[in-house]
Formats: sequence, C-alpha cells, structure tokens
Amino acid sequence: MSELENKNIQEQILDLQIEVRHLSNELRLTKEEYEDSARKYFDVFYNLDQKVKERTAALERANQELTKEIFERKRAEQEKSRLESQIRQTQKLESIGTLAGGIAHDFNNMLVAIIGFSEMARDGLPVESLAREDLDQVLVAAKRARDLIKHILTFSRQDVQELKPFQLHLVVKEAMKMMRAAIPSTIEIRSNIDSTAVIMGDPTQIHQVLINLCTNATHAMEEKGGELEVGIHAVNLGAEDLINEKEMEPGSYVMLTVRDTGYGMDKGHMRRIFDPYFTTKEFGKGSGMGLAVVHGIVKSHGGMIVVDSEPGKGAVFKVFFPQIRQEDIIERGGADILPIGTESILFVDDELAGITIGKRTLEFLGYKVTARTSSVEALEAFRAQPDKFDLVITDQTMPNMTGLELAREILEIRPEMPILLCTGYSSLLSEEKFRASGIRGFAMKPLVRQELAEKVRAVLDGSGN
Amino acid sequence: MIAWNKIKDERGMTIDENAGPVNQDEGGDDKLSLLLKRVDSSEIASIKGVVGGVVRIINDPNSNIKDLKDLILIDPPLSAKVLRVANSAYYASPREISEIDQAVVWIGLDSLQEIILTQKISEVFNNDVVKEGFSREHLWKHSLAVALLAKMIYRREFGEKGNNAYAAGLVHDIGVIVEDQLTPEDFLNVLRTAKKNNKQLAFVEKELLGYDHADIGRELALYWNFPKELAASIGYHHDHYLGESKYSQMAKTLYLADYLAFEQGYGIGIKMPLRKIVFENYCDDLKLMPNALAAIVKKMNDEFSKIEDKGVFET
Repeated sequence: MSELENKNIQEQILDLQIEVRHLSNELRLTKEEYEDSARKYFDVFYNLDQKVKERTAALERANQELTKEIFERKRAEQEKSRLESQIRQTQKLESIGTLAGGIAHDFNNMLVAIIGFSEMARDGLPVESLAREDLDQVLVAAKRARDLIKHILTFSRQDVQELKPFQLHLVVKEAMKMMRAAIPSTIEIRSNIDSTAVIMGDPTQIHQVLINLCTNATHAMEEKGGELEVGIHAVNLGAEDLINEKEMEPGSYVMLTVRDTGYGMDKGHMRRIFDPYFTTKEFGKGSGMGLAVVHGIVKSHGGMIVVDSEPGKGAVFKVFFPQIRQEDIIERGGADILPIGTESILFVDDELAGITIGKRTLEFLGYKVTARTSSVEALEAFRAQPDKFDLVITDQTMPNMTGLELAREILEIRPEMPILLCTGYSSLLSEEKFRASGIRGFAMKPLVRQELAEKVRAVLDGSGN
Repeated sequence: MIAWNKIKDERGMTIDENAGPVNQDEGGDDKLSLLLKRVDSSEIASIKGVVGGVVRIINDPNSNIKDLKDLILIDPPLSAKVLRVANSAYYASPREISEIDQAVVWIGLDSLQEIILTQKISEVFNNDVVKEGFSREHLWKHSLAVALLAKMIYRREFGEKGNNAYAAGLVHDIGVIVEDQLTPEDFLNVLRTAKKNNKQLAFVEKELLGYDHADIGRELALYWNFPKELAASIGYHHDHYLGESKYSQMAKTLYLADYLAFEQGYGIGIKMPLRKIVFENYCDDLKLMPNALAAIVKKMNDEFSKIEDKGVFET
C-alpha cells in the first residue's frame, strides 16, 4: 500500500468518524427535539383537558341553574293550576250558592204560607186542644226550616252571621233528641253535661256542628256498635293550651266533647280531617265537607276544635267556645208581647199566599191593610191616595217592578213615606243600599208574626230596625 | 452601544489591516441611533413581533405550543406560508397539515420555529433592485446559507441545538437591508467603493459612514430585545470577537459560517476579500477540524439544493 493510498484511507476513516459523530449528534438532537415537541404537544392536550374540565364545570353550573329555573317554573305552573282549580271550585260553589239562594227564595215563600197559616189556625183553636199542640210542633219545625234556609244563605253568600248569646246545653239537648231518633240501637248515647254556660253564637250552626260530629261518631261505630258520649264542661285554657291558636286568648271556655268508641284513626288522618273534601268514607257516603264546615263554624265563633284518637281506640272531638259572662247577656224582655197599631198599611206581594197571610196577620194586629199583588197596581193605589197610607210593606222580588223600584217611585211622591222591604233572597241588594234609597225597614222572609209586629211598629215609630 | 465602543477602544487591536479602521468617524453613533429610529417606522420593523417572539420562545424552556400558535395566527399570510412549507416535499409529511398543532407533530417544534423565522425574515428581502451586482435575493440566499451552516456547526460539531445560530444567520446582515432601504444613496456609494477597491463592505461602511451593517444589526437586535448572544454575534460577524466570552462561541461560529458561505459562492453579488487568518484562528478556538467543516459544507450544499422545495424563495 502506497503512502498516498494510506493517507487517503486515513482521510476516509477520519471523514467517516466525522460523519458518525455528526450523524449521532443529529440523531440525538432530533430525538430530543421530537420528545420536546411531543411533550409540549401533549401539554397542550393536557391544558385542553383542563379547559374541557373547566368548561364542563361551567356547563354543569349553568345546567344546574337551568334545572332550578325549570323546577321553579314547574312549581309556578303547579301553583297556577292549583289556583285555577281553586277558582273553578270557588265558581262552582258560587253557582251552587246562587242555586241554593234561588231555591231558598221559593222555599221561603212556602214557609211564609206554612208559618202564617199555622199560626192563624193555631190561634183559632182552643188553648188546651191537641190540634193546637200539633200546630205548635209544625211551627217549631217550620221555624227550624227557616233558620236552616238562612243558614244556607249565610254559607252560600258568606253573610255576616247573627250571633246571640245562648246556653250551649239547650242546643245540645235538642240536637241529642234528634240524634236519638236517627242512631241505631247498637249505639248507646250518653250525655255528660255539667255546665249551663252561655256562649255567643248562632244556635243553628252550633246545632249543625253537633249533628255533624255525632253523625261521624255514629259512622265510626256503625258495624260493631259502641258508646257515644256528648259532654259539656267549663274549662280554663292557659296560654300553653293556645299555642297554635293565635287569635284566642287565655280564659274561660266551654268545652263540648263528642266521644265515640269506634275504629279511630291514625295521625296521618288526624292531620287532614279538617281539610275540605278529605274523607275516609266510601264514595257517596260523605262529601268530605262535614268536618271542614265544623271547623269553619267553630273558628267563626272564636273557638277551636281538637281531636284525639288512636286506631281502634275511638276518637274524641273537643270543641272550645269562649264563655261569656252573665252580665254580657242583654236580656230580650217582652218577647211574647205583640206590638200592635191602627195605622193604614199598603201591603204588596206577588205571592197570593204571602198577601193572604200578611193581610190577615196585620189585621190581626189592628192595622188597616190595603193589599196588592203587583207593584204596578200598588203604585197606582198609592198615587191615587198618597196620604191614605202610613206605611208601605213591599216584597223585593216581583215581576215588572222590584220592591226597590216601587219604593223609589213612592218616595218620589212622598219622600218621608215609611217603607218596610221584605226580601227572601237577594244577592244584589244590601241593607246599606236599601237605607241609601230611603227605605226605613228591612226584613228577611219568611216573617213570623212576632217579627212582623216588631218591624212594623219600629218603622212606624221611626226607630228603624 | 457606548459600552461596546469603549471595549473596542480599550482593546484597540487589529489582526488584519482589512479588519477595518480603529478610528471611527465621529458622529457615527448619532447617525446610527437616528437610523434605528427610522427603522422602527419602516416596514423592516414589521418582522419584529414574530421574529422577536419566536426567538423568545426558543430561549424559554417553559414556552408551549400555544405561544407559538398565538404568535403566527395573528399573521394569516405567514400562517399560510408556514403551512405551505410544512406540506412541501422537503418535510414529506405523511398527510396534509392544516393546523399548526399538526405541524408540531409531523415536523417538530424546532423545524416549525425555523420555518416561521425563515418565512417572516424573508419578507424584508422583497422589493429587489440590483445595484452594482448586489441584490437582495443574493443577500437572502447568503443569509440562508449562513443560517444553515451556523446551525449545522452547532448541531453536528457542538452537539447543541442550533435554533439561535440559525436565527442569527438569517438576521446577521439585516443591517445591509436597513442601509439599502433607508440610506440607498450611501449604500450605493458603499457598494461602488467596495467593488472598486475590493474591500470588505463593513470596512468601506466604517470609512464612509462611521458604522457598518454589523453595528446596525447588533443595535437593532438589542433594540428589539433579542438575546444578547444574538446581538453580540451579529455585531462581530466581521471582526475579531471582543465581547463577553460566554457569547464567543456563537459569534465565532457566525463568523465562520459567513466566511464559508462567501467561500462556497453564496455571496451578496459583489466579490469580497476573505480573511483566512481570522477564520483559521476561530477554527482552532472552536476546535473545528477542516474535514469536519468540509463535511458540513457538503451537507449544507445538499440542503440548499433541496431548500427550493421548501418554497423559501417564493416570497
């Protein structure tokens, strides 16, 4: 091998060594660079992942807010539909009220005849006669019916009730008499009355409370029989007894208890029994309104009702009414004395029965009566001799011209003319409106003789009613 | 700038009479700072954002892909060019690259940075007018050659990453562009004088203007907040390195790359004298064997022929 060749080979080796060094450096750097690139690339992905997480969290928050919003909207919709059904219910009750009012009006007119003719028939009979006693019973029932109608009207029109002082035990005893006839003999009735306290209220409503409670008790014992106990006790309620009754004040109360030994009820039922339309009875047997009505009546009397029961151990309803002191009672003296007079009265009613009874009752009381069955005729009679009459008694509901319209016409002729307006049922007219029209007196039909005598006298004497 | 002059004045040494006069034309500094201010409002400044950004990313180990993406996505023509180059035959990507993210995966972050720098810097070499043989196209090819050589010396010989060296190579003659663009009459004068006297451009510039294009490049690099290493190497690419020793490797490498580029025919359009003494000294300093440099030059020539595929001349 020549020196030149040798040198060439050495050069070549050197070049190869250089190339190896160069390429290994390139390889290492390229590898590093790609690793770095890959790491940074995945860093971006990691950051993306992080961003996705953040974004997801933000979306979840938004979603939660949306869900909440939807939930609230749903609740608002539920509330809306609940209110709508409440409105429908109210409208239904209103129409029932209107219907009941209309029926009451017609029924009142019949009661006018029943009461009026019964009273007159009774008065024509000897004091000791059996027929007179029978007619007395008819009158008691008819007056109860009249009260019931008034009660229907009170409920259907949410009228202000007539509260008066009365002894609770008297109403209870009367109701018990009624219940005894209706309750099967498997149920023993006991009364445990040790208070004759006076309360302020509407006896008819209290009567209804008792009937409702006793009916429920009877239903609870219908299958197995049992014991129904009605009690009246005077109690003192302290502040701790009235924690849930903010409108009631501590003091003396009369407690009416209705206890049965029936199947009782659990706490779940107890919570709901005063809700309207809640009933444990099979379909058709109860409306679910009984206890709601009871609750309403008791509340309107400033009282409260509590129930204590366990399944299988019967139930006891305790109704508390505020007891009023004896000195609060205004004595209604002379109720049996009929106020009489000799004045001339123009009497208007489109019902023939009403006219007959009214005329005969007023004549019985000593008055001179001119009767008309139409408001138009009555106005003619008045216009012919305005000074002949001292009082006009007119029915409100009449064809062609209502009592109020007639009264206005009459007052045009004689502004000071005393007028007594009788109304069975009217949702349009209020007493205030009558008074504003210049009408002196106002009476609810049907009028019994005592009331009619008192009202007529009061209007004639200018004291109103 | 003043500090740099001070160092130069203190050392005051020259090895070659062609290395340029020690005594500077008075007022050169003032003229230079005026020139820099004009650069800032010229179109040359348009590359500042992207180039400065990429250089910063190269030198920031905590930088990420998003930084690079954000940088070029605000420059749609650049993004398009980068993707075009990434999809060129040179990189032989296995599939169409339509996103910068994909480019990172297929060609690597370093190559991507290289493409961005190349494409952006090439913009200031546009609008060519040939003067005395000089052309911006010649200068651009020269710059690319220097960039490739500097990078390869770093990678193949030093076993270090070559991104900064590549960047330095691309911008090392930006001072020439500044002169051509902003003081064309002075520049034409310089070109004529250099050609007539067969002198180095920098030597003539110093004589006539008081500063040379390396001074302009260095000051611009500092002004644009490029790394000091970059500014120092640009500033000394025609002189003996006199700056901080920690930057000497880059400065000397750039000098060698510049020398080799001229030697290989990647000049600027007019013949320049080469100073072999400095070259050999630097080769010794950096322990670079002639065979090794020869291998690198060969590799560079290969690359350069392939570079057409990258579309770097399609500016």
